[in-house]
Amino acid sequence: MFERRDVWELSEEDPWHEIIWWYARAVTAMQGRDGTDFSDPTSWRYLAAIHGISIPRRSWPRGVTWRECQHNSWFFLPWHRIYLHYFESVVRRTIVALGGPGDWALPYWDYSDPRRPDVRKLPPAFREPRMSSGDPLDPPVNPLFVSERRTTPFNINQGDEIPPELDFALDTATAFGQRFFSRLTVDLDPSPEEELFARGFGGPRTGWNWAGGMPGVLEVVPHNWVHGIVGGWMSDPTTAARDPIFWLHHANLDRLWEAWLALGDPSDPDNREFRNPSTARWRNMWFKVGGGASTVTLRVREVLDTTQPPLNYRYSNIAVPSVPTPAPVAVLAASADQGPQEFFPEKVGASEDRVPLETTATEVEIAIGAPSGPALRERGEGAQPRRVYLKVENVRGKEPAAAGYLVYVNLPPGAEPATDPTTYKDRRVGQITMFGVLQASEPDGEHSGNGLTFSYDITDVYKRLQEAGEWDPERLQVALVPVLPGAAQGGDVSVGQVSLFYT
Amino acid sequence: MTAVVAWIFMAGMSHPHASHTEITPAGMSHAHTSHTHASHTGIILGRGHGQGTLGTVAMVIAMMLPLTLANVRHLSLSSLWRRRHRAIAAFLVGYLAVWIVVQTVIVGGTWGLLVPLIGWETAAGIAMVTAALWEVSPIKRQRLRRCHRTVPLAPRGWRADADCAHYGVTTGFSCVTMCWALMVTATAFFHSFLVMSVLFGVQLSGRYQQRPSPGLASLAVLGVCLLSFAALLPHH
Repeated sequence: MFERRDVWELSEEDPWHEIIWWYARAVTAMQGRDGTDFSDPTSWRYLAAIHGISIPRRSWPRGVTWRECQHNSWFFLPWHRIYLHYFESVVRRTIVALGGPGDWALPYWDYSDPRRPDVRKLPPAFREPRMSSGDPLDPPVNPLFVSERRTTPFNINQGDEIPPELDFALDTATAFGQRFFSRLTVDLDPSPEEELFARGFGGPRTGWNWAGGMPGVLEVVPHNWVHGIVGGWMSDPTTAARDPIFWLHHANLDRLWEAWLALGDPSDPDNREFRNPSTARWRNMWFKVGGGASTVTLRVREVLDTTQPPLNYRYSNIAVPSVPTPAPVAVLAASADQGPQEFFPEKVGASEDRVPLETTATEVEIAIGAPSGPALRERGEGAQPRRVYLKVENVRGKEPAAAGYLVYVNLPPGAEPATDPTTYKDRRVGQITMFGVLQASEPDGEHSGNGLTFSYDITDVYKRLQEAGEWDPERLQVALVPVLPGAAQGGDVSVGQVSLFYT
Repeated sequence: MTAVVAWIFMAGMSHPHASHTEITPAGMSHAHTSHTHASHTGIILGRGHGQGTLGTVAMVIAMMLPLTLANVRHLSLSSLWRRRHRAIAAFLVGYLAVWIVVQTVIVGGTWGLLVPLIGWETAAGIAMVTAALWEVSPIKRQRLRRCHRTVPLAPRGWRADADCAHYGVTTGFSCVTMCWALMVTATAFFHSFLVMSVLFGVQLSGRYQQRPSPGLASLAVLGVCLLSFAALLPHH
């Protein structure tokens, strides 16, 4: 059994702990196999290209399985688990060939632990341009150092902490507050409400690389944000896996999946809370990763228990601090029929034009109409909606002006949450992240050019604002506030539409 | 429902000739070869039977309309409730307009140009091989993705209608670039019910399967076309 350990615990023992040192040696060896076309399935660039590569498909070497990463998808977690397994196997074989330990396992970077402020820094071994372990076998340059990483407003390679105002980007509480992997209720076919708005912990039901899919909560926070915070190669799926910290980041997400499952009640097998989907469509999906003799083809169901072959690993710690007691999802009005019932979300308002996402806050006004369909029939004229959703869709473009945006509704006049994202938290309804926006915007790409889509259940905020007399039933103000804006003005990313739904 | 009616209509068009052969490639019996060519050309080009346009529209509705279910669902969920039928109608006008024009060109090009020039066997053979190769080509996979495209639609006013119609036209063009080879093959094989059914299955699986299998699709195209050839050529 291999054990994946916390990289910061290792670093506190020794910044060049042997697990980290052997990782660096293996990375150097794998980078040496890159060649000119990266066709060696055990080379560094081949492994990174499995996740994404910007070279057009027609120029790829024959038979490679590249650009396979699953994002905005039901398969985000299992695909990355198989990908990590393949990567770890290649690294371990390389380490053994170099004379290193055969029980080497990939460490993880847990940046979310509030009790240990140091973990908000990049581990020291990843920040030094030259290796300083003093070992004569040290490679001439440190392969774990990547100069392209973020330098402003904090310099991640200088050991700057991820600042407290970005707590929301590392906070796992929202993900752990999700009781279901992809649904609100049970494991049946999704209703339109669940398909469109219930993202769950691991992502909504989608097919392989599905167009227009939405990310699960964990995929946005912390996954997408950490990609954007580290910056450089990490901020783009086609280059992300070239940064050696990528693999430690994804090992942490894989660990968080294990931690979430551990919240389930083992004495009640019928309880679907904190459980993986049981449907065959999810469990039987297969993925082929790698190439040549080392190719790995695995079904999702084969990688659900990490302690069993072929994975054979566990995490040194799956305790997650400050896991909230999951609260029932807010429902404003009980249904007359308390049995299983589908609710059809009715669109009651939408923005008229594309909304640019810039380096400064953008505001958009939505004219709300009275419901005339299912929401009216369900509740009756003038009654409160059962739930209220905000949807931000078709986020498209090539050059983001910021790492992401916070979405607020009905901010008071003169409010400037951009200066301090911790303010107006009671009006914050969601987040937009830019990771993968370029790829999702390509018309012939895996996401059909639909761009990114995010949805938020804003029922709680709606209720609060209504009680405070600050909800106008005919008009909604939505503010999109940049997080980590670029130094220069510009960027061409815009939101296709912001819309409001009632059920 | 409309697509089902169109399929019944297409089956009816095939039926009178079905008794002459073991499979149902409409009208390729030995006794009626020349008549069949004439009648099909007539039907397809809008001469003789007066069903040309109707046949083309029925073919498009039967084969293509079911491929728009996901788009129609997107329209329905993305429109204000009272506008949803209007949105779907505007989309379908744009979508069907593209396909009816393209199908008319396919029919005219196949039966008015290709068959008289190189003969039916060669034309059908080329169509079959092209469709089989197209199914496994990376360009087809790329084009297929465009069919899943969703777009923001203005919520109200003339812009909402225009957006829906434009969405129909662009989806129609995406669909043409994905399905043109199969539609040419179906046309070259006389809109035979069997060939149409298999090709329709190939289209549906490409559009809606979680992970479409291009190799299987290509084999299905070759299989049904070769079966038709085997049944037709001895009589030809």
